[in-house]
Amino acid sequence: MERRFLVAAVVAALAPVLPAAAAEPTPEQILAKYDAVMGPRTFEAHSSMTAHREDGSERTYVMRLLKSENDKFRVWFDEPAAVKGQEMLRSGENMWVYLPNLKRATRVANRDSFQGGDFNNADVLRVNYSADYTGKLAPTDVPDTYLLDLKAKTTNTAYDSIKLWVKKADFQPVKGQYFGSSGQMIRSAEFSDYRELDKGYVRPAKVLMKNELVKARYSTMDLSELKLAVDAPPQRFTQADLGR
Amino acid sequence: MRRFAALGLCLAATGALSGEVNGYADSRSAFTRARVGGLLPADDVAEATELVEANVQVKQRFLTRAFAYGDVSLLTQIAGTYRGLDADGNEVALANHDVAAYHPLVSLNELYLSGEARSWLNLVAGKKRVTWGPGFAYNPTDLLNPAKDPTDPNFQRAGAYMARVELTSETLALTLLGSPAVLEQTSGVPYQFVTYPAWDKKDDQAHYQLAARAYALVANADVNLMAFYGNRYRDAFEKKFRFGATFSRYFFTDYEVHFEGLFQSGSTRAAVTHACVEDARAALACGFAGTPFVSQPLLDDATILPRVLVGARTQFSDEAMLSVEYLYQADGYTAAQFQDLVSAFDGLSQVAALGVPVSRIPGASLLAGGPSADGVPQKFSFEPSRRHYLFASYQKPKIRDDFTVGLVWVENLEDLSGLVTPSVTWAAEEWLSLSLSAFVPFAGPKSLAATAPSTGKAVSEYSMLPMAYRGLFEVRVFY
Repeated sequence: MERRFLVAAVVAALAPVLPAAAAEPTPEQILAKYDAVMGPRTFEAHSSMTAHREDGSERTYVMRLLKSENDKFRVWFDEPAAVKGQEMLRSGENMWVYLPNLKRATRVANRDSFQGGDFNNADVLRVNYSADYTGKLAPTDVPDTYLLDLKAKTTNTAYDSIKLWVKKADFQPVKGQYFGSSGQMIRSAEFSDYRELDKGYVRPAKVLMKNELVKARYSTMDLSELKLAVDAPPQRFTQADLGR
Repeated sequence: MRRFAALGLCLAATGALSGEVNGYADSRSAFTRARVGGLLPADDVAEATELVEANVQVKQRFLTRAFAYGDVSLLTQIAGTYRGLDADGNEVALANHDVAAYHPLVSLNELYLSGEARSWLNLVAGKKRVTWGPGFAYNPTDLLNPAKDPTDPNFQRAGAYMARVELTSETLALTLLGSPAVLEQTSGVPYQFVTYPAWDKKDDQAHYQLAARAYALVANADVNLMAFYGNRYRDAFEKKFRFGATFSRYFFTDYEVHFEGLFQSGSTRAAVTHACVEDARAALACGFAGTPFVSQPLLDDATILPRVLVGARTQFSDEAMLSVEYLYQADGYTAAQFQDLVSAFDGLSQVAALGVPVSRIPGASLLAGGPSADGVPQKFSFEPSRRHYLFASYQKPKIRDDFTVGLVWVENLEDLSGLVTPSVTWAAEEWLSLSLSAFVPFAGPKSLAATAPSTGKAVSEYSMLPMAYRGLFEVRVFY
């Protein structure tokens, strides 16, 4: 009896420190944290995407991004001159591109290339992994990280499976590997330049996406500015608003 | 004092404005091999042409959610080397002469004011290209704009003058618009709308198109329902109701499938009077009796004659894109009607060879086609005349990084004639692209073709074009 009481007393004394060691977050919680880092509910950002090509040359696209809720996204391209006026919209499962030469919106797919670079449309416009993937924890080879093994819930996603490494301390992503339906790795990503882009909001400002099918090709996405508290009215995320 | 205040306000407003300007300069050097001695006259087809286009697009925002937008092209052309037949039927060089199609042109592609009176209410006034249909090569429901070029759908930028009101919610949009017809213009600049002026009174009617469109995002599909009411707007229909419907959705992740249909009673398509083209004697009899050789017999017909386009598009893992579309138009010519058309053109060419003005033949003007497109001169003008067509387009980008090869195939599924357009584009710099393309019409098998009565030659739709082939080199500089 005395012994039981002693054990209970020790457990009670250690209770404040035990959860940190024992309560390992679930894959769902880690994924939710990752989503909060990479795709906060509402933000406006300025970004550039540089595609590095096989011949060593590069093409840079400058754009403005606006996100609302979990599944609404707008992109306005400012540079280069050849694509100025192009716009993209995601609303739920739907994506459109507005081409100023065509003067109208055309539907595009998640897996279509984003401006011919190594990101696809979903990499940029569909950053809510909790909705699209189920995950489980796997043994990690990178210190102080969780490794999430993600499987697509539906066939609408950009990838069939993803391996995602996130930091234990703050759930910032470190790297990712992206696989197609054949199980072949088609892209890999490295996240860097962790910065406080808005008050209290830190995320990697640079994403390097390597093309694993054509090794000489890779693209980088750099965020230069990001604001969380912005006005994002629902009308900005309608097909009719494209081109205005 | 008021004037100074107004001036001050204007200057203050100007200071607060920050316009966005971009555009391109474009050079198109073409060699066209004229089809001399064909059914359609090729005397005005210059074999060597150089077209230079300067395009500027300006967007000037003002107030909070309003802007003025202009997209204007200035075009100038040099054309030369004409071919024709001499009195003995031999091909000879013709003297350079003035051809209206090669005159300089100002193309006001778009010029409008747009504003949000409320977050859900958008107003537009001016000239704007509004297209509701998802068709890639052809839009049956597009009753407003100059037709686009199926071999390069990006090429036609011009719109229509309109006043538009649009109400939007997250998944719905309701659009009402009215468009006055441009009846008089010079070098692309309009100066008479809706009714003809007193000094050129072709008719007393008002020429306009009204349209209502309801859009809904339903089950991840774009659905449009449209109603049109127009009077002598780009065609001969009077007080005409027409209805349209479109659908576009992705299936199986990567396959976009679309439908676009226009439903109307009757047709404005010109048909040749069969009894007038059976032989020379019949033609003479019609001529003496004043019987029209060509008429629009279905103009007031109550039969619903739909035009429907269905298509699919996908992007492969190597980023190559394939688009396939099928067009059905119920008012297209049957084989017999097409034979009559060929007989009529054959007769016209005989009459023209005798020096008789074709304009004196009753109804012949209907064969000259509809009103000219008030947009940028097109590489290829597509006016489908039969019932069944297939369009296929394939583009493979990123060949050695900057090269894109493409192939557009337009096929008449009835006489199996068509047009093939291969192209190579080199995006040499972010601001510079060079492209080389060819336009090669081809005839279908003789068994499916019509016959020119005077020569006994087989004639299919695309072997009638006044060009045998065309090569085009284009340089475009973006700024």
